[in-house]
Amino acid sequence: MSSYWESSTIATLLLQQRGWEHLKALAEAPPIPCFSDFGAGEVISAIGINVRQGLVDALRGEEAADGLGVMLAPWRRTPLIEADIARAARYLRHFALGLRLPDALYIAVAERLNLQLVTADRRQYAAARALGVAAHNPFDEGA
Amino acid sequence: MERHEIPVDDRTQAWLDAIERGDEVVLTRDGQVVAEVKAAMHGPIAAAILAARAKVPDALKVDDAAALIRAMRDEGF
Repeated sequence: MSSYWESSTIATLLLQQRGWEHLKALAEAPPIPCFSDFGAGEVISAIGINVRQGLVDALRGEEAADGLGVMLAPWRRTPLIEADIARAARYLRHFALGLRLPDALYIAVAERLNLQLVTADRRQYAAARALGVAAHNPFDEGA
Repeated sequence: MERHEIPVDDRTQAWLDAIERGDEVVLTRDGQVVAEVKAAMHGPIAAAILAARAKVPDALKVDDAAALIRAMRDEGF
Protein backbone atom coordinates (compact mmCIF):
# COMPACT_ATOMS: atom_id res chain seq x y z
CA MET A 1 0.00 0.00 0.00
CA SER A 2 1.40 3.39 -0.95
CA SER A 3 1.79 5.97 1.75
CA TYR A 4 0.76 9.59 1.97
CA TRP A 5 3.02 11.69 4.16
CA GLU A 6 1.61 14.75 5.85
CA SER A 7 3.62 17.69 7.07
CA SER A 8 4.62 16.43 10.54
CA THR A 9 6.57 13.58 8.97
CA ILE A 10 7.95 15.70 6.12
CA ALA A 11 9.06 18.31 8.66
CA THR A 12 10.66 15.60 10.78
CA LEU A 13 12.75 14.46 7.83
CA LEU A 14 13.88 17.99 7.04
CA LEU A 15 13.99 19.88 10.32
CA GLN A 16 14.31 17.50 13.25
CA GLN A 17 17.66 17.08 14.98
CA ARG A 18 17.20 13.52 16.18
CA GLY A 19 15.08 10.55 15.22
CA TRP A 20 14.70 11.43 11.55
CA GLU A 21 16.88 8.53 10.35
CA HIS A 22 14.05 6.13 11.17
CA LEU A 23 11.75 8.03 8.83
CA LYS A 24 14.40 8.14 6.12
CA ALA A 25 14.50 4.35 6.10
CA LEU A 26 10.72 4.30 5.85
CA ALA A 27 10.67 6.82 3.00
CA GLU A 28 13.24 5.02 0.90
CA ALA A 29 11.44 1.66 1.18
CA PRO A 30 9.28 1.07 -1.90
CA PRO A 31 6.77 2.13 -3.08
CA ILE A 32 7.64 5.80 -3.60
CA PRO A 33 5.90 7.91 -0.93
CA CYS A 34 3.30 10.52 -1.85
CA PHE A 35 3.02 14.12 -0.70
CA SER A 36 0.86 17.12 -1.55
CA ASP A 37 1.74 20.76 -2.09
CA PHE A 38 -0.40 21.44 0.96
CA GLY A 39 1.99 19.40 3.11
CA ALA A 40 5.02 21.10 1.62
CA GLY A 41 3.35 24.45 2.20
CA GLU A 42 2.83 23.74 5.88
CA VAL A 43 6.51 22.94 6.28
CA ILE A 44 7.50 26.18 4.53
CA SER A 45 5.07 27.99 6.84
CA ALA A 46 6.89 26.48 9.83
CA ILE A 47 10.21 27.66 8.40
CA GLY A 48 8.68 31.10 7.94
CA ILE A 49 7.66 31.29 11.59
CA ASN A 50 11.26 30.67 12.62
CA VAL A 51 12.53 33.28 10.16
CA ARG A 52 10.13 35.85 11.57
CA GLN A 53 11.27 34.93 15.08
CA GLY A 54 14.80 35.77 14.01
CA LEU A 55 16.31 32.29 14.34
CA VAL A 56 17.74 32.67 10.83
CA ASP A 57 17.65 35.38 8.19
CA ALA A 58 15.37 35.23 5.17
CA LEU A 59 18.15 33.96 2.89
CA ARG A 60 18.79 30.94 5.14
CA GLY A 61 15.05 30.36 5.31
CA GLU A 62 14.83 30.36 1.52
CA GLU A 63 17.68 27.87 1.34
CA ALA A 64 15.83 25.57 3.74
CA ALA A 65 12.69 25.89 1.62
CA ASP A 66 14.78 25.05 -1.44
CA GLY A 67 16.00 22.01 0.46
CA LEU A 68 12.42 20.90 0.88
CA GLY A 69 12.00 21.02 -2.88
CA VAL A 70 15.14 18.94 -3.33
CA MET A 71 13.91 16.40 -0.81
CA LEU A 72 10.49 15.96 -2.38
CA ALA A 73 11.63 15.96 -6.02
CA PRO A 74 11.78 12.14 -6.30
CA TRP A 75 8.49 11.69 -4.38
CA ARG A 76 5.07 11.32 -6.00
CA ARG A 77 3.07 14.55 -5.91
CA THR A 78 -0.61 14.13 -5.10
CA PRO A 79 -2.84 17.16 -5.78
CA LEU A 80 -5.76 18.03 -3.55
CA ILE A 81 -9.17 18.33 -5.20
CA GLU A 82 -12.32 20.22 -4.24
CA ALA A 83 -14.00 17.09 -2.93
CA ASP A 84 -11.22 16.69 -0.33
CA ILE A 85 -12.35 19.89 1.36
CA ALA A 86 -15.95 18.73 1.54
CA ARG A 87 -14.87 15.39 2.94
CA ALA A 88 -12.60 17.11 5.45
CA ALA A 89 -15.48 19.33 6.53
CA ARG A 90 -17.51 16.24 7.30
CA TYR A 91 -14.68 14.87 9.42
CA LEU A 92 -14.50 18.13 11.33
CA ARG A 93 -18.04 17.58 12.56
CA HIS A 94 -16.65 14.76 14.73
CA PHE A 95 -15.78 17.40 17.30
CA ALA A 96 -14.45 14.98 19.90
CA LEU A 97 -11.59 14.01 17.59
CA GLY A 98 -10.06 17.46 18.00
CA LEU A 99 -9.27 17.80 14.32
CA ARG A 100 -8.19 21.04 12.69
CA LEU A 101 -8.82 21.59 8.99
CA PRO A 102 -5.27 20.57 7.91
CA ASP A 103 -5.54 17.34 9.93
CA ALA A 104 -8.82 16.50 8.25
CA LEU A 105 -7.61 17.38 4.75
CA TYR A 106 -4.77 14.88 4.89
CA ILE A 107 -7.11 12.19 6.13
CA ALA A 108 -9.55 13.00 3.32
CA VAL A 109 -6.84 12.69 0.65
CA ALA A 110 -5.57 9.42 2.09
CA GLU A 111 -9.08 7.98 2.07
CA ARG A 112 -9.88 9.16 -1.47
CA LEU A 113 -6.73 7.64 -2.91
CA ASN A 114 -6.66 4.57 -0.65
CA LEU A 115 -3.25 5.55 0.69
CA GLN A 116 -1.92 4.90 4.17
CA LEU A 117 -1.57 8.18 6.01
CA VAL A 118 1.88 8.49 7.58
CA THR A 119 1.78 10.98 10.43
CA ALA A 120 3.90 11.70 13.47
CA ASP A 121 0.97 13.48 15.11
CA ARG A 122 -0.81 11.34 17.67
CA ARG A 123 -4.09 13.24 17.55
CA GLN A 124 -4.30 12.99 13.79
CA TYR A 125 -3.27 9.35 13.84
CA ALA A 126 -5.94 8.47 16.39
CA ALA A 127 -8.56 10.42 14.46
CA ALA A 128 -7.72 8.73 11.17
CA ARG A 129 -8.03 5.34 12.78
CA ALA A 130 -11.33 6.33 14.40
CA LEU A 131 -12.63 7.40 10.98
CA GLY A 132 -11.62 4.08 9.46
CA VAL A 133 -8.72 5.45 7.40
CA ALA A 134 -5.46 3.49 7.25
CA ALA A 135 -2.74 5.32 9.17
CA HIS A 136 0.73 4.72 10.52
CA ASN A 137 2.62 6.64 13.19
CA PRO A 138 6.29 5.65 12.89
CA PHE A 139 6.97 6.88 16.42
CA ASP A 140 4.26 4.87 18.14
CA GLU A 141 5.18 1.29 18.85
CA GLY A 142 2.69 -1.02 17.25
CA ALA A 143 1.09 1.81 15.31
CA MET B 1 35.41 -10.85 8.83
CA GLU B 2 32.99 -9.37 11.34
CA ARG B 3 30.83 -6.29 10.85
CA HIS B 4 30.84 -3.82 13.75
CA GLU B 5 27.99 -1.31 13.83
CA ILE B 6 28.23 1.93 15.79
CA PRO B 7 24.74 3.27 16.60
CA VAL B 8 24.12 6.99 16.35
CA ASP B 9 23.90 8.50 19.82
CA ASP B 10 24.53 11.88 21.41
CA ARG B 11 28.29 11.39 21.05
CA THR B 12 28.32 10.29 17.43
CA GLN B 13 25.50 12.54 16.20
CA ALA B 14 27.98 15.36 15.54
CA TRP B 15 29.99 13.05 13.30
CA LEU B 16 26.87 12.15 11.36
CA ASP B 17 25.94 15.81 11.01
CA ALA B 18 29.41 16.55 9.69
CA ILE B 19 29.25 13.73 7.15
CA GLU B 20 25.86 15.01 5.95
CA ARG B 21 27.40 18.44 5.42
CA GLY B 22 30.02 16.81 3.23
CA ASP B 23 32.81 17.19 5.79
CA GLU B 24 35.54 14.61 6.13
CA VAL B 25 35.48 12.43 9.25
CA VAL B 26 38.53 10.30 10.03
CA LEU B 27 39.72 8.14 12.91
CA THR B 28 43.28 8.77 13.99
CA ARG B 29 45.84 7.00 16.12
CA ASP B 30 48.85 8.95 17.30
CA GLY B 31 47.96 11.66 14.82
CA GLN B 32 47.82 9.29 11.87
CA VAL B 33 44.61 8.63 9.92
CA VAL B 34 43.68 4.96 10.23
CA ALA B 35 40.10 5.02 8.94
CA GLU B 36 37.72 7.23 6.99
CA VAL B 37 34.00 7.43 7.68
CA LYS B 38 31.96 8.24 4.59
CA ALA B 39 28.30 8.56 3.73
CA ALA B 40 26.71 5.36 2.51
CA MET B 41 25.53 5.09 -1.07
CA HIS B 42 21.80 5.75 -1.12
CA GLY B 43 18.93 5.59 -3.56
CA PRO B 44 17.43 8.80 -4.95
CA ILE B 45 14.97 9.35 -2.12
CA ALA B 46 17.54 8.89 0.64
CA ALA B 47 20.09 10.96 -1.27
CA ALA B 48 17.54 13.73 -1.70
CA ILE B 49 16.76 13.72 2.02
CA LEU B 50 20.43 14.05 2.90
CA ALA B 51 20.97 16.78 0.32
CA ALA B 52 17.94 18.66 1.63
CA ARG B 53 19.06 18.44 5.26
CA ALA B 54 22.44 19.83 4.25
CA LYS B 55 20.64 23.00 3.12
CA VAL B 56 18.93 23.52 6.49
CA PRO B 57 20.89 25.64 8.98
CA ASP B 58 21.28 24.20 12.47
CA ALA B 59 19.30 27.11 13.90
CA LEU B 60 16.22 25.79 12.09
CA LYS B 61 16.60 22.25 13.42
CA VAL B 62 14.08 21.41 16.13
CA ASP B 63 13.70 18.72 18.78
CA ASP B 64 10.16 17.79 17.79
CA ALA B 65 8.95 18.72 14.31
CA ALA B 66 5.54 17.16 14.88
CA ALA B 67 5.02 19.40 17.92
CA LEU B 68 5.96 22.41 15.79
CA ILE B 69 3.35 21.55 13.17
CA ARG B 70 0.75 20.77 15.84
CA ALA B 71 1.29 24.13 17.54
CA MET B 72 1.01 25.87 14.19
CA ARG B 73 -2.30 24.17 13.39
CA ASP B 74 -3.78 24.71 16.83
CA GLU B 75 -2.90 28.38 16.80
CA GLY B 76 -3.72 29.10 13.17
CA PHE B 77 -6.91 27.24 12.39
